[in-house]
Amino acid sequence: MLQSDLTALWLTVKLAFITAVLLLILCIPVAYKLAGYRGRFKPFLEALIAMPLVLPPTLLGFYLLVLFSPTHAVGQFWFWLTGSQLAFSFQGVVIGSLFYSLPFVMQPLVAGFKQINQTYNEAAIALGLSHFKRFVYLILPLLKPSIGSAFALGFAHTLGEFGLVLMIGGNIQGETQVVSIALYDHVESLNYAAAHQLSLILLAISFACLVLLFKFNKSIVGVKQ
Amino acid sequence: MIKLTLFKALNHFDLDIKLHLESFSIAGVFGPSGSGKSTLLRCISGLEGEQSVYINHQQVDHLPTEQRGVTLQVQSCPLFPHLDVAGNLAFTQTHCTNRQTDLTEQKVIEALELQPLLKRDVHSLSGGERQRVVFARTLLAGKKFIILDEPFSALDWPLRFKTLSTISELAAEYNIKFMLVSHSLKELLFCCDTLVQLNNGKVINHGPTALVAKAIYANNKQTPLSLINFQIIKFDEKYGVYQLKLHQSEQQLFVLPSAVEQGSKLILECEQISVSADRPVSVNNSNVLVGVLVNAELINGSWQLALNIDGQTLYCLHSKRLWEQSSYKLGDTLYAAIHNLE
Repeated sequence: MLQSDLTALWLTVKLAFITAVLLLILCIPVAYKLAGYRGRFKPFLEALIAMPLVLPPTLLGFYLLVLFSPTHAVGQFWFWLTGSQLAFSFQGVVIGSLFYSLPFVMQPLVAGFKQINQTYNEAAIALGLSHFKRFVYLILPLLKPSIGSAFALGFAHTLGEFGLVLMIGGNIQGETQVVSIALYDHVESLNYAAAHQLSLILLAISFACLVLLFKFNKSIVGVKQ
Repeated sequence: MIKLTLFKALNHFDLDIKLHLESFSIAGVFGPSGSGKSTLLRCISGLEGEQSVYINHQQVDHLPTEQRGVTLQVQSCPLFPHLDVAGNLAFTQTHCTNRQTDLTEQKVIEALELQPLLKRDVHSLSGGERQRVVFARTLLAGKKFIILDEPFSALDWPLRFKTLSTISELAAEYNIKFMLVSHSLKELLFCCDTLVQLNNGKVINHGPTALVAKAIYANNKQTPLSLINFQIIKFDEKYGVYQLKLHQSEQQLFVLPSAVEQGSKLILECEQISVSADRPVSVNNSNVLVGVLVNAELINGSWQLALNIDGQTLYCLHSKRLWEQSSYKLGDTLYAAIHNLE
C-alpha cells in the first residue's frame, strides 16, 4: 500500500473522529433546547439544521471558502488568532465538516431527547433534583443510545466527504488529502489497483460504523434485553 | 404544619382549596378518582402553578421543588430504566441534597424487605415490587415531609397493610410527616391520624380520622369500616391462631396469623359483623364482643349501627325489617359476632 494512501486514511479517520466529537459537544445542549422548544421559529431552525442534507457539498464549500479567504473578516480574524490561514488547512476542513455533518448528529439527538419519557424527568423533579443534576445524572444516561447513534452517523458521514474538502481544502497530502480525494486521484491516473485497495478499506470502515450504529439503535432505553 | 390556598381551573371543575392542618403525623387525602387529589399534591410540591403554600410556617410559593423540603412520589412513579434496583436506591441518596433524616439505605432495605430485589433489572419487577422500590427511593431522598400519590395500589392487602404499618413506624421513629392520597378509605383508616376529604376540587371534611370517617359514612355510599386496636396476648400453637386483647379492654379475639402480621389494627367490614341482643351460643361464634349501641341511622335504605366496644367503635348494618323486629334502643347492650377472623 502506498505511503500517501496510509496518510490519507489516517487523516480521514482523524477528521471524522474530531468532527464527530466536536459536533456532539456542540449539539447536545442545542438539541436539548430544541427538543423542548415549541415557538414559532421551530420550523426555521429545523430547516436550517437540515440544510446540509439537501445542499450540494460544493455549495457549502464555496461559501466557506469565501468566508475563509484572507480578504474576509472571518479569515482575517483567524489569521490574527493563529497566524495561519483557514483555507486549504486541516482546521478549515474540520470547520467545513462540522457544517457538512451537522444534521447527522443533531437529528438523532433531538429525536433522543424527545423520546425520553417525560415521566422520568417529572419523577426526578418530584424527588427534589435540581435541573442540572437531572440533566447530568438522568437525562444524559438515558440519552446514551442516541449519543452512540449520533456519533456513529456523524463519523461515518464525514468519512465519505468529498466535494466540500476539495473546495476548501484542495488536495494537499497530509493536510487535506482525505481518502475520497486520494481515490479520485488514483482513478484519474488509471491506477486501478490502488483505487481498489483504498475503496475496499473505506468500504469496510463505513460498514463497521453502520453495524455499530444499528447495534446501538436496538438497545434504546425501555426495551433493554 | 401545612397551610394552602389553591385555585386552579381544571377541565370539569375548579380546584378551590383552603386547608390548614396544624399538626399531623400521617394525613390521608380521600376522594373519588378525578376529585383533584393529584393536582393538590402537585401544587404542594411545586410541580404545578404558583399557589399559596406554607409548609412548616414557611411560605414556599415561589420555591422550586428541591428547595421546599418535600418529596412527592407521583402516581405510578417510574423507576429509572438505566439503573438496576440498587442503583435506583443509591440515585436519590447520592444526588438529593439537603437531606434532613439520617435514614440509611440499609435501614430502608430492611424495613421494606427489598434485599432479594437489589440486583434485579427494573423491567423485571412486578407492579407491587416496583411500588415498594419506588417508595424506598422516595424515603432515601431524605426529606421530612413526604407526599405519596396512590403509592401501594398494586400491593395485595396483607402486604399493603404491612407497608402502611412500616410508614407509621418510620413516621414515629424519624419524625417524618406523610401525606397519603388514596381512593381507598380502608388504606387511609389504617394508618392516618388526620383525614381530608375532597370532592370536585373542594375540601368537604378535614380533621381527626375517626370524625371524618364518621362524616364520610353518613354522607356517602361507602359502607363503614371498623378499626380495632389490639394487643397480642399469645400465639396458640395448637390451633395456629393468635389470642388478642382489645386495646384498653379485657375483651378478647382469636385471629389467624395473617391479620396480626399486618400491624396492630384490625379492619373489619360490616359484612363480617352480626349483632344480637343475646350472646350467640353457636360454636361458630367464638369471636363475640360486647358493646353499647350508641348510634343508629338510616342511610341508603339500611340501618347503620355503631357500637361502643370499651371505647372503640364497631359499625354494622341492619336491614329495615331486622331493625324493626329487633326493637333495639340507644344504650342497649348488644353482642357483636365477628366472622372470618379465624
